[in-house]
Amino acid sequence: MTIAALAVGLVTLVTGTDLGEARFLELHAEIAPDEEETWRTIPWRTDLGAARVEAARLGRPLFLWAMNGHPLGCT
Amino acid sequence: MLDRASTFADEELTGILRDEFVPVALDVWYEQRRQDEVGEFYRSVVFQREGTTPERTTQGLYIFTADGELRRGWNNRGVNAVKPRVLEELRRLREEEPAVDVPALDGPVDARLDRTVPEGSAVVDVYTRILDADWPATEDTLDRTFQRAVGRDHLWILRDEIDALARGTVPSTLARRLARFHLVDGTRGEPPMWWRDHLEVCSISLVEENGASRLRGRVVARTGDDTRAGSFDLFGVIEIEDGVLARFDVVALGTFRGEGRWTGGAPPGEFTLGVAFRLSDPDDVAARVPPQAARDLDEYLSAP
Repeated sequence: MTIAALAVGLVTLVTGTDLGEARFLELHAEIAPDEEETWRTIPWRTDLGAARVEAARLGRPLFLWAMNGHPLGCT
Repeated sequence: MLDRASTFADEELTGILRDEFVPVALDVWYEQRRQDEVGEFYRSVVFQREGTTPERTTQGLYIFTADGELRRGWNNRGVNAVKPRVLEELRRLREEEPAVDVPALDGPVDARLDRTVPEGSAVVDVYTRILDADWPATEDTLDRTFQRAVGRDHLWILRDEIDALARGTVPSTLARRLARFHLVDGTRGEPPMWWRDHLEVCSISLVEENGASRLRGRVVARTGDDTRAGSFDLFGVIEIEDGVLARFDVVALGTFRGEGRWTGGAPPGEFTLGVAFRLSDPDDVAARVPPQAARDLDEYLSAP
């Protein structure tokens, strides 16, 4: 048994369980969302000052999504 | 979360926002506090909304012009509350001449609230999902949306921590930052983090296995009054190429119980919580959004 394998064995013992590669990848995919979610197709800006100048240049109004916790982060 | 799953999942509305507006997403906590020109502009817009005061949150949705005239502001969400307002206001705006010239807001930025990614750091997407729970039975669409909700955040890994990973060790700052600020239930709003004395076990290490660097770990945390607790095993694959973090695929799988002030509606008792980490796409604007816990930047970076 190599040192690395021994280390894995010890960690497995400590954690009480281990995941096979397939189950690990499956779980990772199950938790992470679909990157094609519709809300992500909106080109959100995160700099209000720059967005304001852009809106004036394009002749468009601004739509603001303001949350406690960033809407593109932790909400 | 509800907005992502409901309001901004509507194809017609998202198309209108893409084609007719300049869409902006902001964290109220920063914008309401920052003492600079952008902060002044933000407050000048949102405080035009009836009922808003400096003492109350300005969370909501706003339509306004580039010269700062608020046209609509509200905090009722869900596509049925949002789309009619957007369509109606858009009709009115199309009949007017838009603002064509506004001064740039290029004064000094409030450095106290600057949360630029530290130089040389890696940004990691963090996703949280409840995988199994004894939810009360419901046919309510919103309830079911909440039950399937994904929490999002970002983890910063600093330059010297990447160097340590390349040497085969997980520095304690990274281990504790990941544990204290990211192994939390953020699926229903802003989650409470773990305090330093809440961590009972925080053991994360790297092992070489089949030529790859595998992350293994265990984290146990509990509040002093035992109203909230989590117990996780961690698994992952780390790759560093030429000193650059090229892969950080990690899963934390564990049991969790409890909720926070802003995360009410947790499942009863213990439930299974999964947290997945992967490197952010550097071209994704969301990667610039700081970690939730970086509001207290020193605490986040030093992770005592």
